[in-house]
Amino acid sequence: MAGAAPLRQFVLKIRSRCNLACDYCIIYEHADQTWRRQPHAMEPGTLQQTARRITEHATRHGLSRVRIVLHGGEPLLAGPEGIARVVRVVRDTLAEVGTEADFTVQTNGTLLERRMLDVLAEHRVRVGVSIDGDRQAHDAHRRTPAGGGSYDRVMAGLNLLSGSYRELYAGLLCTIDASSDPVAVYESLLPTRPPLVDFLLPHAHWGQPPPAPPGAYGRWLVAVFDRWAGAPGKETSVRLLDEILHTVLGGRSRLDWVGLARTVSVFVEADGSIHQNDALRMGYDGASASGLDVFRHSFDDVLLHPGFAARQAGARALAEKCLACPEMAVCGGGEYGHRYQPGVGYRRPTVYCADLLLLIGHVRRWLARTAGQSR
Amino acid sequence: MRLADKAVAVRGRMPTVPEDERGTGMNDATGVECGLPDIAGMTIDELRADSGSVLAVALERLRAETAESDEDEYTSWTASV
Repeated sequence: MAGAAPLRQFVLKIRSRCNLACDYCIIYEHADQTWRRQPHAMEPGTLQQTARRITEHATRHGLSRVRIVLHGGEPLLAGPEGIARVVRVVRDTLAEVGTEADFTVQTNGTLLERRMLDVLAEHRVRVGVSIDGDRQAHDAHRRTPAGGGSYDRVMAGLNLLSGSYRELYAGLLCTIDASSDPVAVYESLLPTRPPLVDFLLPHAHWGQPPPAPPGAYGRWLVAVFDRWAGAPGKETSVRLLDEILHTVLGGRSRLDWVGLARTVSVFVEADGSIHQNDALRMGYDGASASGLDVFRHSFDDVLLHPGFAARQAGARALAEKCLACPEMAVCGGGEYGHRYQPGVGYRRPTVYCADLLLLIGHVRRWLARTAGQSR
Repeated sequence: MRLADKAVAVRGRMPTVPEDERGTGMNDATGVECGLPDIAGMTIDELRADSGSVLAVALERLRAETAESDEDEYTSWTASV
């Protein structure tokens, strides 16, 4: 474990079911079917044990602060009282050793009503909302189990969040549909003035290629970059673009899927089993599992797991082709799950290699022009 | 701190067009040219950017990062629900 970075972000699956049926969902619509084996909710005893393990890890590594992400399924199905209980248990347990916890909940936004937001405000839980653009783009994928759109409910919650509860507003998360208009999608996300926008590449790997052809996502992101970087004032942080720009400038990426950053995130399922990363779920059933759980194992044990070690190994975990690539330090091999090839494993370039090279090259050229103008 | 110390040392190496990994369209998709920013001789302060712009914010972040400890290490991961 020598040299391993301690875990700092703990993603708690406090609910394993969802009230939407999005067609691309990483939890329900890909090879991994872990959710079928999970209780609907994390039991109080499992939550308490998880909190003890996080506290134990924080103590061993002298962590003054950790980040807790409430995730699912749809975590807000826990209801206001359920959310309050989760936060109280984890925060109080960590407080015993003087460690603070920053809480975020990642939600589909449909349950962001006033009572819920009051509780989130009371417990200082920041809120990230998944939304895929305007009504048409959003409802094309993010639908109810009955097949209806969810846009109106999400926007009602988002308007509340970004208005009266603005201090809780963490940002938006948008999965890219390459057939959509990139500038229109980006601009449709701006009216609520999100502090951050995360654009996610669709879940894919070499055995299950992305819906659009190679380069389509790179061109989509290039169009967003030009719109975003061309604004006279920075409108919001587009995390993927911010991290690529920062890394091209020589900075250190703080996003798992950019640069050679070491991952410090870990996932705890509703039954207390410890998983590596949701992005691995598209590979095969059980792909994200570690075989560890909070009852029998510490989070230091997690650092010894080959899957976690590989995701902290930086360049040593990359394919030979990546090691020979001049953009290795910026790309970092891309999202780990996107590297998977059935029968080979994860030592492959990302399935989005062409897209990332296209985007990084564009950022370099933009920077060259912009820097040149300053001479 | 000179930006040259932070800039990625890739001068003179051009990103190559990757082999056709997915069967079609790869060559068409990746006409990546070498457009490396010729900023190796400049300091952060010498790079001018409009106040509040994307570049100005990026440069300020880089400036702040140089003052941080390398031990202050974290990354983020999120997924849609």
